[in-house]
Formats: sequence, structure tokens, C-alpha cells
Amino acid sequence: MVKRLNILFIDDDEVERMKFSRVCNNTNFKPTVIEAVNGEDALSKLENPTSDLIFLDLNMPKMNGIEFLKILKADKRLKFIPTVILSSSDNYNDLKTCYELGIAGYILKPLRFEDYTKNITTMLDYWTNNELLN
Amino acid sequence: MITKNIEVLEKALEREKQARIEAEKNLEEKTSELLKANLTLRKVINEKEIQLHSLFQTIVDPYILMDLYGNVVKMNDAAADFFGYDIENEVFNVISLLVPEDVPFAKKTYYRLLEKGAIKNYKARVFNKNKEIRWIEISPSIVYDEKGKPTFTQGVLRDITDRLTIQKEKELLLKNLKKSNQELNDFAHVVSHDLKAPLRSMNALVSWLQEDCLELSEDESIKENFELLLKKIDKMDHLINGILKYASIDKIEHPKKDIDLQEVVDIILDTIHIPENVKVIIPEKLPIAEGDKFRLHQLFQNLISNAVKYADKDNGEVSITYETKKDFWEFQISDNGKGIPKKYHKKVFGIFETLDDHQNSTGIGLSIVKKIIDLFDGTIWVSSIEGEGATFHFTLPIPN
Repeated sequence: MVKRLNILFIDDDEVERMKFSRVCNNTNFKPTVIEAVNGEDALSKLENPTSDLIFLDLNMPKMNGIEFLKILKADKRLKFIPTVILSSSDNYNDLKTCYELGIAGYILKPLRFEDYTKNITTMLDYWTNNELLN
Repeated sequence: MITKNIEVLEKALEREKQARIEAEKNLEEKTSELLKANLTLRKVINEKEIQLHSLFQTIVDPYILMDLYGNVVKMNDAAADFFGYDIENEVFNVISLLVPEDVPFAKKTYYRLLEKGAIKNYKARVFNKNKEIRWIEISPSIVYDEKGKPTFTQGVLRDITDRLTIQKEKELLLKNLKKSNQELNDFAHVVSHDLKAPLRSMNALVSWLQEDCLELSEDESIKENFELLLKKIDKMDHLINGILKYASIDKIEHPKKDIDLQEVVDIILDTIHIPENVKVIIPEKLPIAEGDKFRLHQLFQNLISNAVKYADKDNGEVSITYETKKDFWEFQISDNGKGIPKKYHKKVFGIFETLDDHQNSTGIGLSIVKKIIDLFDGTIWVSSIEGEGATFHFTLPIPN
């Protein structure tokens, strides 16, 4: 049986959220997607249901991705949720900080939707085939 | 007996007379010698005095000599001119020259001077003859009399106002430069985030619209327009990337190394798209230059892809050659395309200048090339025969 992932998708951009859910709906993996518009919002949505995988944007108002990641990684239980960064910046410092904090991937948002679809599908495929702690 | 005595006396007298004459003569000689010596001495002293005086007067910087209470007793022309005082006619005290706020520190410094005998590079603000505040620097010292008692203070002072102003201007300039560099970095950040994000959204939305529309209608023109719209979005993205690259080309400093240009060009030829009908010819192996690999790569890549893009459609030919000159190489990258009219030869290097509306030509590539050449202190120019092709010539320094 194909596992259905609980995914928390965090991005302040409405179109980005639409893009993600569109890709998810078009795959066979059919994950359950919960959306959050910034880090703060995401913290309240982490546990019910418990997320299997997080996609995280970095540049967001109120609580940005790195701030969220710090809080997540400081939590004894939640720190095991694999987190994939989806960012528009390949800024070296951002990359380094994220890898230091502990991430499961760092994807640069491509311009074209077809490239985006490929990236996300690959990720979903990979994590569906992985054993997770929860 | 008496006569004998007298005789003896007379003889003695005569001897004495003789002796006195001798002595007088001697004295005269000595006196004249002394006089002579005195004269020479006076001449020497005179000379020295003249020398000292002329030195005193010709010191370009103001010199002042004052008593221990700060009353000026002597100053040279430069000092008189600087402060606008004539000590022949008036008495004045150095305290009156100082900017009032600086007086307490000046007094403190003066006690230190009395203690140490000399002080280096004391700075203060004084009023000049036009009552303008000037910054001066002085290394004063105490003059002692023969018994070792301090009698005067002296010093040559230097007007450092201009130097300080220049220094301040320099600091300000550096600060501004740092700020504008920071702004540029922030700008690059903003550009990459805030300008590219809407483009990604537009691309997604247009793709979905395209899908939906094509389900409803098979009209070719709808399909074409959607393709065109997506291409324009692509071009906008290229443009933003180009601006980012242009802004950062002189920011990221990579270490200078020996760079095998042949290797660089080989890598470029492997990675860029070269249509089948275009041949790239390199008759002579390219030399090893010294510099930043990233910039050299960027330089050759932009010029080569430019040449490939504009080479003849059916039988394209691009050649990369170079000549060794006195202390530089002159490279030529030529294509056999339609050429560039002379009036555009200068214009092509300007930012956002592009000669046609070629897909993906943003007008940034050649301005990046120009910027890199400038960083190498080289020159770049175009020669072209319309209809036969264009050649970009540029120079790079030969490493020592």
C-alpha cells in the first residue's frame, strides 16, 4: 500500500501554495497537504495531524523560515521531521545556516512550472519511499 | 768705583731698555695676531648669524619663539603672515591665538613640555589672520640657557587643516562606498526575491491558463500567444539574472591565479549550445593568463556565445585568435554574421543596449564584458564589415 504523507507546506505566496497543491493533486502519491502562511502559523499546525514532511520557504513576514527552523530543531520530538527548503535565493549564508540547523534538502524555486513539477514530484517520490519516525 | 757703578747701572738700564723694546714688539705682534683672530671670528659669527637669520626667515612653516609665559619674542615671516601679527609693533601671547575650548588642553600640554623638554605632534586649533580656525601641528621644545635653566619655548608649526579635511573627505567617501556596496548587495537580494517571485507566479498561472484554454479551443493563434507570453517571462528572468551578474561581477573577488585560457574556452564550448551549422575555430592554442577564473570565464563565454548567436545561419564560423604584443595580448573573437554598422560600435557596450530583439538578448552580456576588461585595465573594440561579420578585439595583460 502506498503511504500517504502528511505534508506541512509553508509559504506566504498564495500562488506558490496553489502550485504545490496542484502538483500534489496530479501525482499518484496524493499526500495530505496542510498550508501555513508563515512560521508562526506553521507552529500551530505542526501536530494535528503530526507532519511527516515539511516544505519551507525562507523569505516570509512575521516569522521567516530560518527562525521557524531554529524553533523546530530545538524541539526534542519535532526536530526529526524532515524539512525541505524551497527558496528563491541561493545565498551562501542562507544555505550554510540551513544545513547547520539540519535540513533534508534545499531546492531553488525554478522559473518554469514544468521544472517545478519535476522537482516536487521527485521529492514526493523520495520521501514516500523513506521510512519515517512517526 | 762710582764710575764703575754708574757704568754697570747704565749697562743694566740699556739691557732693560732693550728688553722692553723686545717686549713691546712682542706685544704688538700678539695684539695684531689677536686682532686678526678676532676679525676672523667676527666674520664667522657674522656668517653664521646671516645663515641662521636667513634660515629663520626662509622656513616655509611658521616658526615662533616665546618666553616661558607664552609671550612671543621672535617669529619668522611665515609666522607673521600666518597669524597677521607684527611683533615689532605689538606684544601678543600665544593663548590669544588658540580657540578658547582648546586652552585647557594646551596648558596641560605645556606643563608636560616643561617636564620633558620636547613634545611631538601636538595638535590644536588656532585663529589665523583672517580669524579662520585652522588646525595646526607643532613639535615644541624648550630652549635652555648656559646654566641649563629653561628660558624659551620654540617650535615650527604646520597648518594641517587641508590634510585633515582631505582625510575626513576620504573617510566619508569610504563610508559612503561601503554603504553603497551594502545597498547594492541588498538591491541584488531584493531583485532576486521580489522581482523573480512574481515571474514564477506568472509562469505558473500562464501555464495553467494555457492548459485550460487549449482544452477548450484548438486555435493555433491562442497557442502561439501563450508561447510568446511564456517566452517574454523567460526573457524577463534572463534580464534579472543579467542585472544581478552585472552588479556582482566586480564585487566577488576571487584570488588571482594562472588560468589556462584554452582550458577555459574548451569548457565553455562544451557547455554552451552551439548549433550544428556553426564551427568554432581556434588555430593556435590560447595562452595562460593571470587573473580571476570566474571573470575570465565570464568574459570569454559572453563573447563566444555572442559570436555563435550572430554567426551566419547556414555556414556559421566563429574564430578565436590572438597576437602577442609588447606587454599584452590582443585577442580577436570573430563571427561571419551580418556585421555591426559602424555607428553602433561604441554603443554595443552600454548596458541594456541590444541591436535586435533577439530572443534572450538582454543587452547586458557585452556590458559585463566591458566591465571585466576594465577590471583588467584592458581595452575592447569592434571592427566589422557589414555583411561579412564582426570581430571583437580585446587586450589582456601578459603576466610578468
